[in-house]
Amino acid sequence: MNTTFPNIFRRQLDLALIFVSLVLAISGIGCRTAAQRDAENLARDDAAARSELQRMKATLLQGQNIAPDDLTRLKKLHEKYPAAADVRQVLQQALQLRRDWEGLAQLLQEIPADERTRPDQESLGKVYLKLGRFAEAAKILGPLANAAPAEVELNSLAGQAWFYTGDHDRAAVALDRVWTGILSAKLLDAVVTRGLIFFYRGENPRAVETIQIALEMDADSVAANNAIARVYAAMGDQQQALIHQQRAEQGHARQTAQEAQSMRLVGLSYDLKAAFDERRFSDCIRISQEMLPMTELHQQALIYQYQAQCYQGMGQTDAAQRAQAEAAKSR
Amino acid sequence: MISRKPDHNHNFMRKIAIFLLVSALLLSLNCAPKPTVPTSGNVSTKLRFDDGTARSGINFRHVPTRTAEKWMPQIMGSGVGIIDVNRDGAPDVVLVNSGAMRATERSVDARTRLYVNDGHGNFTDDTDKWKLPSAGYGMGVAVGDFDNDGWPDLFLTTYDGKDLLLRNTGTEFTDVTAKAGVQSDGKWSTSAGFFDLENDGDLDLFLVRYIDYSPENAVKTYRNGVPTYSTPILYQPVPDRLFRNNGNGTFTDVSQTAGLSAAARKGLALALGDIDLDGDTDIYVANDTNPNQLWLNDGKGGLRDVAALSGVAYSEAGAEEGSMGADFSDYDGNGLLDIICANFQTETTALYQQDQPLLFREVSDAVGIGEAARGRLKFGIDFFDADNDGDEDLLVANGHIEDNIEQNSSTVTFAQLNSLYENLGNGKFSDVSAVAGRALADQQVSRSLVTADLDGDGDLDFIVTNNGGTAQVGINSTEEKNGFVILWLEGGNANRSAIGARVLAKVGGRTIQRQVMGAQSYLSVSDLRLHFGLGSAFKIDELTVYWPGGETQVFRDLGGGSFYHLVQGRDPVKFIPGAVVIAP
Repeated sequence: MNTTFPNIFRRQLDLALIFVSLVLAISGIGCRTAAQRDAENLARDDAAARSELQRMKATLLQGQNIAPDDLTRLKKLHEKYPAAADVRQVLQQALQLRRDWEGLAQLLQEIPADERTRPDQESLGKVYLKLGRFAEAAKILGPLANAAPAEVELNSLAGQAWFYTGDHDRAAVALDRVWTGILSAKLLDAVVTRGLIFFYRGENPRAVETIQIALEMDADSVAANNAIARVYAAMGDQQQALIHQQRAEQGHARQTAQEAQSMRLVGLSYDLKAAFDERRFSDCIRISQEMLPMTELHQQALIYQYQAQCYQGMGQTDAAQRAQAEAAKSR
Repeated sequence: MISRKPDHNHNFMRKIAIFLLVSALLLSLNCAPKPTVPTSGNVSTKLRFDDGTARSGINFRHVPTRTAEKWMPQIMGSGVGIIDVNRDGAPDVVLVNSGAMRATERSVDARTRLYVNDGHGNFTDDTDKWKLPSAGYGMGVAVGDFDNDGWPDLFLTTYDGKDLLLRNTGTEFTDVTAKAGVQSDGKWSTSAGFFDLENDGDLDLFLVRYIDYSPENAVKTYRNGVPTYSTPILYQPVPDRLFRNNGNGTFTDVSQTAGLSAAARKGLALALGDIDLDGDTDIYVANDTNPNQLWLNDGKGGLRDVAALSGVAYSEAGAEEGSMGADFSDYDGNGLLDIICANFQTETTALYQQDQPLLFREVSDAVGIGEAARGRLKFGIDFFDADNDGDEDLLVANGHIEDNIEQNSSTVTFAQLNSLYENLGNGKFSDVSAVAGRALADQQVSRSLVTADLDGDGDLDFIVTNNGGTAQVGINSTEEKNGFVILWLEGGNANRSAIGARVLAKVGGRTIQRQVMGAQSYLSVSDLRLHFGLGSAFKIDELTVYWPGGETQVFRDLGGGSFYHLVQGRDPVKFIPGAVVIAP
């Protein structure tokens, strides 16, 4: 073959090509484009943003929500540096804590499918499950589960996703292959799901047997009691059906009462703070009195402190001292 | 001798180099930002709905008077009822309004209104002519001829204890609430429906009630620090009521003996129909954050709630849901009625498929409505045959209850698009909302909806109410016309409104089932006339009418493209909607 390049140069060119290619491949200049560039820009140019990010991160690490304004700032930061892993991570945590599953799904979807790490894929699959987007969840979790047939959580989740899409056969396969693990990990929802698959296939005795396992894990489980009540009713055992229906209803009532109390408490906390900030001390006392029976001991200390300061503000020193003493006792 | 080895090595190295370079370039290409391709999917449909609001003459605007206190009634919206008020065979419309929470501050703009139809979908506001009163903070509406005089009457529900029973005299409405003994006890009423509890020939009244709520006991709630409308979880439920018709213009409250008083839930929606096909009307109540109830009627006035054991009380996972709307349909044509329940955002529209008598399975995800539904907050819901192909499609009214939801969600909005799901006839639905015409592109805070053939062309149109917005009229403009038959049933021994009648139409090789339902959707009632889409067939081969009370009539060869007035015990007579008044 004729060439204008002497062999020696040709060899040098090839070596150079190999070298350049290796450097490119190893340093990942191609992949550097977005993620690293955004991260570098953030680190180099935007000290204010960096510090805000750290502050929000610290808040989230304490399990506290960031303020709505902060969330807006964080979203803007993400818009500016869409590929910066740090920003994405903090936003992901913030959305998770706010239970903004739609937002979280959107954030994870921004990562191109072929660039999602396995944890990203699992997170997205789980968020889809949370959102009840079962077909999409099955599409992500299914292949992951098939590729890792011994992974209990993954197969359990994939099984449930398939169940809700109506694909009971695949669901049963996924659940059955990690059944021992499901039992060891006491994955109650997965057990109930398996029981319902038996039920819908008309295998009522096996459905009862399976859901009984869930009830052994948690006799008060609403899902298990509700499911087994339906199976017993279908079998004509009204007595057992009614017993479990009642247990399910009692469980719901307990859950609702707890939820109502915590919502009420959250509302009163905002009212208390507002009353205190506006120096409406008598309102503050009234609200705090209402809160006390709903709160645990360690929370009561804080409420008594509010009371003490309110009494102080109202010039009632004795009452303030008494509240302070209660606060000390509660600590 | 020339060795080939160096050359071989050289070529090999070069190949590696080129491979690596190409790989690196590919990698870098791969990492470059990708263009976003809009994904409208491959959805297509022949269904089309035009927005016919402007030309319909229905200019109703709901006045919720939303204030900073965020009182719960202000976000609930109001109902709509289809009533043939003047017996001309054309569906007229009652739209309920709300107004200010305090009666003294309620303006005349907030009146409940009656729009009378000329048969072609042109409506006139005849509220004054018919002396339709407004009282209280309006919620829902029920339609039925409770005194069997042939003129359909109204029951209007309210938040603040001003419920009204309005007797239609043929020329106007008169308030007979007190005389009939159906006064409110001051609690919050939502949906209501007329039905014949014991098949004795007169209509009884079921009244759904919500929570014990007032501005005085209202609890402020917050989500992530943002003030929100409160949740029913924080309030006590109010028991539903059942009034038995004494047959003399008065009613007796039988709530206690029927077992309702001891089964208080937080009810919003009502569907009335014969779910177990035993010849009497059963009652499904959709409750908000409570288990739903399916009251089976023993035909003698006895009711038994079988919802939990039948699988229609909870989600498939056994969770209580925020249920707002309900309807029945034999969507899969297996001869058994299925139940659909519209639920809160992130919850699905639960489709409970009746596989065996009273054994239901929740199949919304399996049939293709689950995922799309979770992205909306659903209220009004109605099965209707939008394309006259004989199976029922599904329309859902959507809108959130937090007017500041954008502060708590990056994706959810207060105003939402409504949803239209086409029944594909193979046990699956397709969400065709985005491609079914302009009426589905109206993004408002929707609440109630009803369906009826408003313009008399044989296909079903719809009306949606919007919280704080204008009511929307959706006119069916689907081009490919399938055949139809519309039946106006009128009871003789059965109640005049024929509520509870079940009709089977044999068309070609299939059987289509419809029932005259006294309530469905949310706070609403659709047309009592029955609509049958015939597909490509030209007639109903055989029509069997099961009248409430047990009588059966069979007719053969009813020609398509017609409206029939069918009085119990007589032969069907054709009519043209709006053409003439058919005297009782």
